[in-house]
Amino acid sequence: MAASANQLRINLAINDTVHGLDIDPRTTLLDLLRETLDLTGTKKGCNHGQCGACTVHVNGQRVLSCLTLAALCDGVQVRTIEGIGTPDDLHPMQDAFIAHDGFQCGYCTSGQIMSALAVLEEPWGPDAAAIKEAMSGNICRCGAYPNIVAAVQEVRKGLEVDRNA
Amino acid sequence: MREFALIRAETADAAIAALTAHPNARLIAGGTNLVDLMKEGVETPTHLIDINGLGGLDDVQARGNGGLMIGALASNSAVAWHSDVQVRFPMMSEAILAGATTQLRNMATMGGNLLQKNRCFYYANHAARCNKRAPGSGCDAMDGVNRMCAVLGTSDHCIAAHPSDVCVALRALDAVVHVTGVNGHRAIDFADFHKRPGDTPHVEFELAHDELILGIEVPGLPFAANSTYLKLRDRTSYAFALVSIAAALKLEGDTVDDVRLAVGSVGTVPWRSADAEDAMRGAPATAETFAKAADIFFEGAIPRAGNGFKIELAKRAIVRVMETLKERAI
Amino acid sequence: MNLESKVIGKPVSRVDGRLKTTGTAQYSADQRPSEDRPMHAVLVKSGIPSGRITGFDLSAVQGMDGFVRFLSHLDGALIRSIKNPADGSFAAGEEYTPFESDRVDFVGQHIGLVVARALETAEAAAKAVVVKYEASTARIAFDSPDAEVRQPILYNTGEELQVSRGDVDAALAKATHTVQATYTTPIEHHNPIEPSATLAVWDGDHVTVYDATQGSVNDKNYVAFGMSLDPENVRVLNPFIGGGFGCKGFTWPHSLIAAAAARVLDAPVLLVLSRKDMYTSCGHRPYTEQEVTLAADTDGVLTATRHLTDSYRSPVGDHVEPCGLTTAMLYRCDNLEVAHNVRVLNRPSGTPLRSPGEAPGTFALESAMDELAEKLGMDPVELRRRNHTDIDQRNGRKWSSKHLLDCYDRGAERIGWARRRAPGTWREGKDLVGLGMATACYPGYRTPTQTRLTLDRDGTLHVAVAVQDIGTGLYTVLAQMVADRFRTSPDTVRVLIGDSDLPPGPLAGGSMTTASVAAAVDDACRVLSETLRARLVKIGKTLGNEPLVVDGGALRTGALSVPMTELIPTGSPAIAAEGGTNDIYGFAGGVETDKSFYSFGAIFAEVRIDRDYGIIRVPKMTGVFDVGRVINAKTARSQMLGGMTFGIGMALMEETFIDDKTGRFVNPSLGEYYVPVNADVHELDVEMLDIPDYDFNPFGARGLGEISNVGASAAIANAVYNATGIRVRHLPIRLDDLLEGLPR
Repeated sequence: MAASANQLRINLAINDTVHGLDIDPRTTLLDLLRETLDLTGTKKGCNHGQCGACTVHVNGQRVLSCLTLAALCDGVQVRTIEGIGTPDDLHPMQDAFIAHDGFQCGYCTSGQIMSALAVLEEPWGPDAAAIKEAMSGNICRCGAYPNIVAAVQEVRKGLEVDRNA
Repeated sequence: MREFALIRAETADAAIAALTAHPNARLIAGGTNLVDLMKEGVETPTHLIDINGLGGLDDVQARGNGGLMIGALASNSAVAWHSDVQVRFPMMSEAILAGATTQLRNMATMGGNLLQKNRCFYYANHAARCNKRAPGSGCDAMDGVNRMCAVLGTSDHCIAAHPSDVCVALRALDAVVHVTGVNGHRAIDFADFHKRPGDTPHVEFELAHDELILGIEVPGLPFAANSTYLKLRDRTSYAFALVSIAAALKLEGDTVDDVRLAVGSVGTVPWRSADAEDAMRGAPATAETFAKAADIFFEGAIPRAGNGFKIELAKRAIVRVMETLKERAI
Repeated sequence: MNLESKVIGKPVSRVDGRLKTTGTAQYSADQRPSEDRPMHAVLVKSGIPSGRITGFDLSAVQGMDGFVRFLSHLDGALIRSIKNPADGSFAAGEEYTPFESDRVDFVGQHIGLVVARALETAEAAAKAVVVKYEASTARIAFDSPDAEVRQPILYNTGEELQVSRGDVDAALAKATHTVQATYTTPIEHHNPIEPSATLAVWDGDHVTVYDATQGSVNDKNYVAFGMSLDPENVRVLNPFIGGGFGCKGFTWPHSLIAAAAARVLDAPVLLVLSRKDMYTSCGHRPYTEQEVTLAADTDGVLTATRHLTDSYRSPVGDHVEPCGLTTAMLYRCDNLEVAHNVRVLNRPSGTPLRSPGEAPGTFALESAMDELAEKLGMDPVELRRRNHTDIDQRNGRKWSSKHLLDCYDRGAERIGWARRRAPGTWREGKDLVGLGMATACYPGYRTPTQTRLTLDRDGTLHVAVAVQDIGTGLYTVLAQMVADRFRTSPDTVRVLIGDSDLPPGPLAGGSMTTASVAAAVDDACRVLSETLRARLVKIGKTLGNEPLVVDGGALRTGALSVPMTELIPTGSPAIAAEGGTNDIYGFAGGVETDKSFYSFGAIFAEVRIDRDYGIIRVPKMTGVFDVGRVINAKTARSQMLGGMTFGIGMALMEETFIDDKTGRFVNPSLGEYYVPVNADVHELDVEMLDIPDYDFNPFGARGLGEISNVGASAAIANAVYNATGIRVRHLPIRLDDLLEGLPR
């Protein structure tokens, strides 16, 4: 809910649904998702771009929603964890995270998965060192890192197989 | 966050007009640093001018002379992965990829990177004294936790280290910053763009309030194809540098024909030493030559209680980077 | 029986995995329980380390659009005065009643609350409140000369903090080989990625609190006390918690503040702590100075041990970092002295952080053992073998199940210990390579736990207990335990936890939940089995002694198979049973037994250190653990990975700085306090001996959340010594500690 007298109109697509919203210019994309739209799958860990828990895709690229002003999101396409899969219809990356136990408390997991999906589209090399570096913007305090890397690698290899098929 | 009004600028002229009209306005592009500081209350603009709609500033253009023109709104990621950048100026690509994280690099623009604020522990902390944030209040870093602070270019008022990675590479490459403002366009040598603290640590850039960055020109430098960026830090990734090296080397037989060397996180600005480079040019490409240049580089360095190690660390890094480039050149 | 189980010990994927990977698991700040959108609250915290508040200037706040209310001690008694322990019903992190008085004891103390309709307004308003103070003398520096120094008698487990046996001085006087050194460990913060958050919703005299807590029952009693309510009128819900590591273990004032604000405003109030709030609102691991003296004869047999720990507490928090407790029990030694001094300083309160005492304590003890081995010219593993004992050194009892020697053997083999060379002599390319090791151990705790089991008509078993899964895998482990007893699949078990209205269970701390619920679940399963057998007889069935099997829509035993629909006719309630235990193990006043309960392990680390830069990498760590029966191989391994990763952070990067003049933490953010990122973590090799400890509980499990962090920093520090010949006696070990002395 915006409180400022100084309201601003934005239109943006979130998980393919277009929203027209009047917002406080101070509102971050993260708070807009969570507090206005109740899309609470995206998490606030630090609110200062230092943990990666709030990672979402904007126009196909992974960004930190806590440092993104919603006011600058007029006309953009946002994808959040809610737009990836559901408990009854998991994305292969979500399946891989479960199979490899790529999380413990689960709080950083939405951000990890949004990053993991982006990594597959980014020009990183295939080796584990590249995946680790590419995933280093998402802190997991529970320490699931080796399992996260295993999950990403499994999906990547699956894609390679698919592409070769 | 303090309330502000948003102005969407579609042209540079509109942005300049908005800046001129509002003395406490700030431009915003990626916002990774500005929004963070606004949340902390360190930046309290009355107006934000959104310049993301300015056309034609988000690409990387290869120049015929081997150089590049990089638009101010090009994202850090776009530049880092750009093939011309990777081939012509590997140090620049490596520097960008060594900085922050993919999420931040996707957001952050090149122009914004030039304007990023320091990461001294006392800067964004309102309760601490900081001459950059609150001129005249004092500097708690002097006798505080200053392990990350600078040893070169410091003053009695500020010892904050310049935090950027890519600016170290741009300094080594003699980049030129193109800006525009009320008084028209001008080109600023990279060496002049960042200001040492002196008596006015809060004055950080050679950029007037009404000016905005249009692009960064990187002049052609064929031997920069043999260049690299080394970043040493406390954590393998997602950490600011303790010391970083941007260097390029050209050999003529066993002799240094030409060289570029800039060191990051040791100076209050991205640091370069003409004397150190001169000491290498024409000299045998040996560890002794590189070590001597490293010593020259740090002549006049002033360590504090916590950061003296940076000098020795950087010297070793200079020698090793030069040795690496030498092997690659042969 | 367990060892043949189809589910116990298996790598079952988390039953809550689909919720956690799709963003549908609801943590405290995600809850949207009512149509009324919650008001947003932001804390105002003290800016001085000692003194009193003389007033608040709200002039910049009052005009803010959507600002609702500012609350402070000027609003009268909103919260009943907290004494710790008040009535024994809860354990609070601080004996501090927010908004009770004008007194300030440390920087970051909660002195006010801004409530607004929108988060943006609340945040801006909290920054705009001007607090006026009258400062008084503060003791902040660790060596403040006039700080009160206490010698606490007991740790919060009831264990003695000042221990003496034999004659240390006499043994030292005769000793041929001694080492004595002081080791320090820094202030560390838990930094779970989920900040603490409390959503309070009142309905008349009843309050529901969605709280990020590691203990819903403890929290319920705390809120009830603070709000002057019967505990039945408080319900704490915590179905998902985004990590805790101790900072959500005991209760903290913000939970009361949120509840009080919601009551005053008659509206739901959501208080989410900022990352910066987290540094001063819910504890930290205090800085410690530990002097360790060890003496041994020429065979390496310890003849004297002294471990003196100096640390601090805040004026309102009584946490002691109990570094010497491990030393008192671990190695055979007849002459021993363990002491803990605590200075009272105007610093934020400490609290347990993953393996409190054990983690910093073993850094000191196990570093000293490494130094002693060096002095004796003895292999460090061999030194530990020679001082191994099957007797708990504190009380002469036998260990219930101890296979530490096997841990040493397996660990040495897995890391390739035979490769180890003399300090500073192993070079590979630009790297100096070294190996180090340390012993790990952690107490086995169990507390009273009750459990309700229900079998419904479609053959689903429901298990309900007021415990919480902070990432440990408890949802899954509970499903496995129940499934095991009814020879069914974990898929047929529904787990209900994270609700203080359920039968009471322990808080998630001290690695005690699994062992505690194991006993309760076993008992509840027994009761349910008896109930089911009685029901079968009642409906005319003839039973043998074969076990009951819940098999889809039927209950089977032997050749008998009865459809659930026949067992539970239409309209009849599901069959319920309650069971549990009031037994306490590991804490003072617990069950009288002739055994002691501890988990053991050995941690080995390989480091590679750039010989020019001193940058330390840990390419491999091996941990071999004797933690009783492993219930879930997958989630147990994950906990060990997490603990070892904590160890890497503790060893190499984690440190909070405090400004001795102002009492402020200097780097209260995840950008300035480094925890390991993905690229810091390489091969983590874990082996569980998996030997059941049925003396401890019917499933044979001991805890395993903390032990993998114990000894990890010492193993790395010892490996650094082995690689470089440089002994660093403080944490974290960073490149500037090595730069000058590196053997280049």
